[in-house]
Amino acid sequence: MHHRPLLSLALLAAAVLPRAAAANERHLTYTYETATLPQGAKELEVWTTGRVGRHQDFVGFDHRVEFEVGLTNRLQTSFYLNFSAERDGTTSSGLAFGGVSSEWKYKITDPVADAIGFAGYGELTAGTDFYELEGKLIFDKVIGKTLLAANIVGAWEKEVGHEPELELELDLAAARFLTQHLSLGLEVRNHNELEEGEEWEHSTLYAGPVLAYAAESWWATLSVLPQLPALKKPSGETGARVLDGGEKWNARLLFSFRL
Amino acid sequence: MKRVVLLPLLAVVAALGCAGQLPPPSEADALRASSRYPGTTVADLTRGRKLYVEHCSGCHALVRPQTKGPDEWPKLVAEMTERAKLPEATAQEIVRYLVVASGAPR
Repeated sequence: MHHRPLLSLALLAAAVLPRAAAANERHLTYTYETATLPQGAKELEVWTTGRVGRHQDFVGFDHRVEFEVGLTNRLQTSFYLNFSAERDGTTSSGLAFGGVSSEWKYKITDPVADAIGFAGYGELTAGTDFYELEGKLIFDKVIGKTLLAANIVGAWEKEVGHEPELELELDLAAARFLTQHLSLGLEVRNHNELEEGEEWEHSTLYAGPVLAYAAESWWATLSVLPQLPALKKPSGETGARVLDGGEKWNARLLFSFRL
Repeated sequence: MKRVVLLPLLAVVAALGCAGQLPPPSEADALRASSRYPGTTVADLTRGRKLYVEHCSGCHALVRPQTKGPDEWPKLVAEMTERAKLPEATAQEIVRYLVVASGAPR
């Protein structure tokens, strides 16, 4: 797998870019928080998602490079370049370009100033052989040193030569601020896939720890989410987990710095 | 069955809502402010609160004003003003709001 160039690029950029104002930190990897960048602020985020273990000897990596900008103090937009690499049994692919994404996020209420934080989110992805529309309702609340967050996610995906698929996901998370810079939490993902016009295919459950560190001008967040016994398995699946499309282990690292 | 799910959910949402927010400034806050900032109105403090939420929450979770003493806020905001490149007038409005709100009775 050839993911070294992306990591090298990120580390080089972090080393040569000037120190700047505080960044818009994320304390969770799958579950979004309502915060948006201040007007005019820019960030570069590098995502790496590792997926390990299916029916065969499977290892996959998804990489995303995201350029994020605050258009107003409530509205931010992002542009992504997506890459992926997989090895499934004896079949292996090198790092391949997977498409581009455009994200828009609008914060309506704040998790500290208001009773509950709320934001709307939309993302359009155009891949090499598919396109996807995704929407999220983002809720969060900070109580003392504890962050609580929930996302309701819906996505519609159309792959060339296949029926459209609908995905529904519920993400829940809680994190505790251990120090001003460090937080530790738990994330839970319930991912559901439905083939359009067909029945509910499966409902998978992932849960695991998430650790975040935020410095003045950069932050990093890591989660490791093993798959738990599925809430609904597709017909023919003999084990407790869904390993056709899902994986035994999922780990995600986000690394971001202010431009 | 729906009630079984909805009622605990509503209770959680209500509890979260009551768990704390930044209350809008009141006449009592403006009156208390007058000793340190003569002529301060509720509108001034409301504008300071708005600027605090808009400018500061983009980089970090907001700090509740009462978790710091009135004399701590000017120094903290001065440090942040440099990092966040806030205009001086904006920073002063934020300081005034935080100093006054930090002294509000709990």
